[in-house]
Amino acid sequence: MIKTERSFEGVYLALAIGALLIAPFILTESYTRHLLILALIYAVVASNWDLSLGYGGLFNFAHLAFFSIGVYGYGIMAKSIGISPWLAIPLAGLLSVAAAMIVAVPILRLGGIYIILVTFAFSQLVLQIVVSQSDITGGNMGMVGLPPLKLPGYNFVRDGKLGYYFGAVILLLSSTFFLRWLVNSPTGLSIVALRDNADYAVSRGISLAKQRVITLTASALFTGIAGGYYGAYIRVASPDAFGMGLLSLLLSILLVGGTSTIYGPILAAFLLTFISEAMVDLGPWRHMIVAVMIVAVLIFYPGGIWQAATGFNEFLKRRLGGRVARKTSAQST
Amino acid sequence: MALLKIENLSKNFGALKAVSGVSFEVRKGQIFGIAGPNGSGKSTLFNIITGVPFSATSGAVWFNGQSISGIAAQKICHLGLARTYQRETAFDSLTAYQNIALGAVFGPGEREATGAATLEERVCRAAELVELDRARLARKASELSIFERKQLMLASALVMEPKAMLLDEPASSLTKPEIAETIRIIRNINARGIAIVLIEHVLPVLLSLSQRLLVLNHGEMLRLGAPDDVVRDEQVIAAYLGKRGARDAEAA
Ligand SMILES: Nc1ncnc2c1ncn2[C@@H]1O[C@H](COP(=O)(O)OP(=O)(O)OP(=O)(O)O)[C@@H](O)[C@H]1O
Ligand SMILES: [Mg+2]
Repeated sequence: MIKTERSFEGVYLALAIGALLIAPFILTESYTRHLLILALIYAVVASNWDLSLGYGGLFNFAHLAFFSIGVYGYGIMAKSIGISPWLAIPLAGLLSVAAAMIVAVPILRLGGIYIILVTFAFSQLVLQIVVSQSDITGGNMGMVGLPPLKLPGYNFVRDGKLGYYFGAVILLLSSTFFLRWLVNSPTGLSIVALRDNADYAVSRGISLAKQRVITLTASALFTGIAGGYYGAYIRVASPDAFGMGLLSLLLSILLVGGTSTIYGPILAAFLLTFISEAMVDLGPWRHMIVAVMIVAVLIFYPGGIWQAATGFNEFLKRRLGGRVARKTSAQST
Repeated sequence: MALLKIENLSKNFGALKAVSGVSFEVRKGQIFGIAGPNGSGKSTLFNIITGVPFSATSGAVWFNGQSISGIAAQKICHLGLARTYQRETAFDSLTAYQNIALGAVFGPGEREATGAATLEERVCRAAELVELDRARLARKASELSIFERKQLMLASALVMEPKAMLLDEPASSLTKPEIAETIRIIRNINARGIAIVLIEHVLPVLLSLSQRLLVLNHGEMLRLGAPDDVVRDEQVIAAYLGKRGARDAEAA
């Protein structure tokens, strides 16, 4: 009973996994596959951001830096040091966790606007380090020719990037199971409790500082791994990974999807990646149309598209429930 | 030996002395009442004892033989000192069950929770003791009534297995039957050996429960003693009860 009510969650999850398994055989074009892989990676990054920003209520603007640290960590470890890509990707996750611990210290007890300032300053600091240490990171040019993922006798880019696609699916599934497990655990509830009422949470024995470290490090783990995977896929680590373009895309995925849901941002990652791509010919108009769409969603569904989806779910439940009720009452008469 | 010992405790907000030189002792299993006019520093006293959201300007607090002045607020709670708030407070986006479960999981800290009871058993037992309907546990805390939210706040404190509970106006804004139920609930909690410090404006509650009574005025101790003596005190009548209040107190 400690879990929040999860009606039909298993059913929808099975349907979603089924769709992910079939999708690449329907969408065979290389560029569409590329978009799918990007959407899967963005889904991981955005849903983990949801942990700190949505569940935790922490305006953590270092999240993108956790991702970029994963990308560069992969580049340095797999290319410059020569560690196996398969090992470098999880290590990239741990590197981001370490970064999250560092950023957590100054904001242990801070609130609202101060968290934005400190985390934003942290990402700028990481960016400056990356740009200035050009011997290691390639500076403004970035790093190119990062090692790709290979299994003995199979390169992941073959068969229209099929390997990368399924790798990204596995990444998203592991991340999602991790997040759903976490938010339904006592630790996850305590993170929400601190957001709802920090003083009350502390007077129920919850440590603000400890849970904040847990929130940030947990949200950094799969974000860093996703960064490593992105590096292995794109095979480039560039300062663009810190840029406003990616930041605003991820933020809109999170807001349009609906915060504190995990599933909302995942759904929105696919939606926004494809919508934004479909309008690529429109030039600057694209950004404006996307912006208007975001505002519209937030006005009509402040809880994001996930709120709309759960509304539909409730409707289904009422219909099904109503039918069962009618049946039983018909039998009893 | 005193379970809770307050020594010369003070809290200033700038020039305002919200609490000033307050000292008293609460024994194990005792019910200790606190009264006083609005703004006399009662809630502030609870705040500085528990360290949430601020600690005292000066003075000392001892709990169970240990100084708790200035230690982290969640640690004070782990030692077995639980409180409720004057306003019905809850984690509104969580269910009632989850609200209580959080107290069960985090409240005892490193202390061992008693017995081999499962989390669900502990939550349900706490709900039962505060007479909160089991069917309401699956509801969001924000959907509960005022009385239910007060019960929920009590349950989430109780489930931490505290040695003492600080209750800030548990009977405020309740109906007569609910007040009677609250008195019964507090008696049942106390019957488990839990000491209670009770702030209350509803005099019948205060007088029917308290073994000792402290009246605060402008943050200072006006009178401390047996409830019967305190309500007859001229200063207390003048500063707090008024003539009518004193007659009501006699009746209660
Ligand atoms: N955080 C704060 N900052 C400044 N002043 C405060 C703060 N908290 C309380 N006060 C002031 O301290 C005094 C005591 O307030 P407190 O809430 O302790 O009174 P109270 O006895 O609980 O009153 P009531 O019966 O109305 O609940 C009041 O004058 C109040 O305005
Ligand atoms: Mg008060």
